Amino acid sequence: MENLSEHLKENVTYINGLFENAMDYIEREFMVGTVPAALLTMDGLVSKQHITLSILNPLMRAKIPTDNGKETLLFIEENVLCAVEQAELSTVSEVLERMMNGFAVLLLDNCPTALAFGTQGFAARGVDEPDTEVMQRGSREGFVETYQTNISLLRRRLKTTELKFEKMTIGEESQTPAALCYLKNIADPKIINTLKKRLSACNLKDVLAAGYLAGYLERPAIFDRVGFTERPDTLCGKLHEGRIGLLIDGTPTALYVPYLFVENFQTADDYANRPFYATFTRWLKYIAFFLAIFLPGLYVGIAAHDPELLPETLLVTIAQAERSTPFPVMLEAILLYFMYELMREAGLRVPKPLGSSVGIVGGLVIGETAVSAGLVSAPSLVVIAVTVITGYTIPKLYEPMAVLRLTFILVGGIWGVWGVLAGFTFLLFELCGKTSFSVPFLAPVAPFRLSAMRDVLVRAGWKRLVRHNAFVQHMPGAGKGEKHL
Amino acid sequence: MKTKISALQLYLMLFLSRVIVSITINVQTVGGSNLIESIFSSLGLFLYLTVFSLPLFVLHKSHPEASLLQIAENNCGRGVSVPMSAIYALYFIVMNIFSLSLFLTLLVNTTDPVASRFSIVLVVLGIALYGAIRGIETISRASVCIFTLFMLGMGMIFLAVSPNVTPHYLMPLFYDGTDQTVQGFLVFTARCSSLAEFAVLMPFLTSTDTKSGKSHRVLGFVVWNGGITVFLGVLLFFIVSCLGEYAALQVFPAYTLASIAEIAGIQRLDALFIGISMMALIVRIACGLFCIAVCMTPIPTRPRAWLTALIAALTAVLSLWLTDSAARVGAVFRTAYLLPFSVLTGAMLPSLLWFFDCIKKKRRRAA
Repeated sequence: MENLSEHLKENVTYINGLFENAMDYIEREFMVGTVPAALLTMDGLVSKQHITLSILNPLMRAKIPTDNGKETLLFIEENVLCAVEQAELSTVSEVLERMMNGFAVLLLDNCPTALAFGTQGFAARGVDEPDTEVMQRGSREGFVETYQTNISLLRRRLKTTELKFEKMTIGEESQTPAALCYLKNIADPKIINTLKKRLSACNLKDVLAAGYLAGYLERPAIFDRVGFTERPDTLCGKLHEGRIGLLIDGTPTALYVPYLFVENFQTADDYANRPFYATFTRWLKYIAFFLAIFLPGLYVGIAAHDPELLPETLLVTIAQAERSTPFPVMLEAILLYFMYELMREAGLRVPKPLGSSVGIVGGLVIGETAVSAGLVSAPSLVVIAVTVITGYTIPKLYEPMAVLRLTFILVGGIWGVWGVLAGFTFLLFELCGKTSFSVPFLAPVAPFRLSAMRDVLVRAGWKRLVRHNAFVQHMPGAGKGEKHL
Repeated sequence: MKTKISALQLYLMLFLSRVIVSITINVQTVGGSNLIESIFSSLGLFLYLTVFSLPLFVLHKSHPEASLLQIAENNCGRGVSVPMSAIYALYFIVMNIFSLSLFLTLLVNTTDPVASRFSIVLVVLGIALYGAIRGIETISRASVCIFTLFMLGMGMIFLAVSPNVTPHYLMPLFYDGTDQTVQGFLVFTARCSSLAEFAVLMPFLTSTDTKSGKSHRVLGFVVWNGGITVFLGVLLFFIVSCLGEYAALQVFPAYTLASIAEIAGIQRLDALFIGISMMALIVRIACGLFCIAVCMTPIPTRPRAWLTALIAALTAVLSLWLTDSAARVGAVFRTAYLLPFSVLTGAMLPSLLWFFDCIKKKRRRAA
């Protein structure tokens, strides 16, 4: 059955059959004047008080001047109920979609159309500061799980008619509502169309988190080419640069594209802090990125293959420490790093009361005992510890950094310093060869644009930042696509 | 739509491609004993490139979307363009083998005698092939980053060795005549594949580099050519003034210069030199492989990629075989063998094609 039937019994029986064994499905039959009617809704998604006071009460008390189903529906629509969200539905799938989204649907006998009323009233988490993107000077608001609330958070910040939200449904079974948001006067229509095309090609059954969709928006690569944020102010800033956002119901994380590599080093605080300090912290992050990826690999490479590169005193210290340990330096680094990752994973998954125990065991066993027992050397421990701490400065890059770090330890251990540098060149080719929605991933560094360096090499003051536009579609090399052999 | 790169990207890529071979110059190859005179050889190359780039620029202006090989096909038919493509492809293969062999010799004979040549070749060619398959945009974008690192690294080495500059090591110029300068010019010319690369990569250049629609290709060429000459001049000055007669005994004086550098307790910047040289070498080989692929344009994309991979494998095998013995490398890569090849692809064929193009235009006008 695709379209609604004229007969109420037929419609109700069919929909009841679809919801067999669904205890949250509510069907209430009553009379509207002389016309038999049924109200369908889902428990937990609607406000029962709202339904009783604003729908059932007026309906039952209304004096309907006709006994024709279609005329009754029109009368109700125009004179009895005046909900803000009200829609006429003619197909079963529309009815089901509205019901799943917290609407109450009114069906009348002798009428092939239904009326849906917005009566959402489900429990939702309040707007709160996101733990993953804390800001020192700025808003404390973060996205929540209901996408309508998220839309309002954006609208409150961008009071312009150019801000558009296009509704979409993703997930064959979950039918997750999502909103595509962009500034019409800034966003590139080509990027919007590409995004829509890729989303419509998504064959996921359920979309339970924003991360599910990232793989459908861009091909898999070491570094993410889809941006994630839990902050409405961050997303507003991105929309102002011509990016397209995607708010998905049920997750407090919004996606946005195109996403460039340099954005991994930009935080909301950079723009609230003073330029000289923001520039300093940004450089700190660039250095931390290189240390986090290459330091253990270079240490292993130098210690194992090219020790003459080290200053004499440092060389002696490392050589003495290494002499007392049973493992080669590469294995030692891998073991230490593996142990750290195990502890991190355990710390994340373990119930909170046990978290401190993980820290104590890890700190004592690895920090103290392993060195004093002569299993690992103190310099290796220091290198891994420094690497791990530097990795925390760029949380967005944690996943690729974790994998690359291990890879470079292996490369350094096998081939030495030149192997690490060759690996770096490969990484550079990989980064330079990628695009995010036709915008070169490494832009504006490669291809280079000097004017864009005001927000890459330094964080210029706002007076300078607002002087030039920074739309992604104007980035050097944008829109050319890639040509392979 | 054909992928386009900016003039800046192309010239930075060509800079790395040329400099990596130029910095391997030594007294043994140029003859004589005063390396500083090679500055004049490099000036000679500057003039040579300026003169013989003219046919390429003129052809590019009248056929902006065509490479030299496509222009040959349009003007002279497939009977000329196919052998010409084969000559260019062969030239790039030879230059890739030459560059890789030179680097292997440097790494194994000077830095790390126990290094596995097989691993080095595998890694370097693997990365270069990956870059070539990703396309010219990838190579040129990576070149911008590698150029920055290269200049920073070399700047650091120059800064570190500057206290060792001893002016009295600088010998009077042309004391033994100009033979060494001439020989140096021939060596530089034989090893310079820039004109051939430019001939093949011309259509990939964007027609506008600025918002006003202007192109920087001519200005870029002058800056690139001049910049590389100045860079070599500075390098040769430091080599001679820091190493003195010791430079004449070295197979790779630039490497020796890096190995005596010491900055803030960090000794031996030769690892840094090897690192940045290898990165530049990867760009050169990737650029060469891409040029080979362009020479094989009539072949469909997928088989062409496989063929390029096969050529990369052949390059690996031949480089390993050649570097097995130092005498073999010396015998195969003589200036006398490389020079005609470089002049043919860089100067003669473009000039001839320019000549034919002019005649064809005149006939068309007359008709």
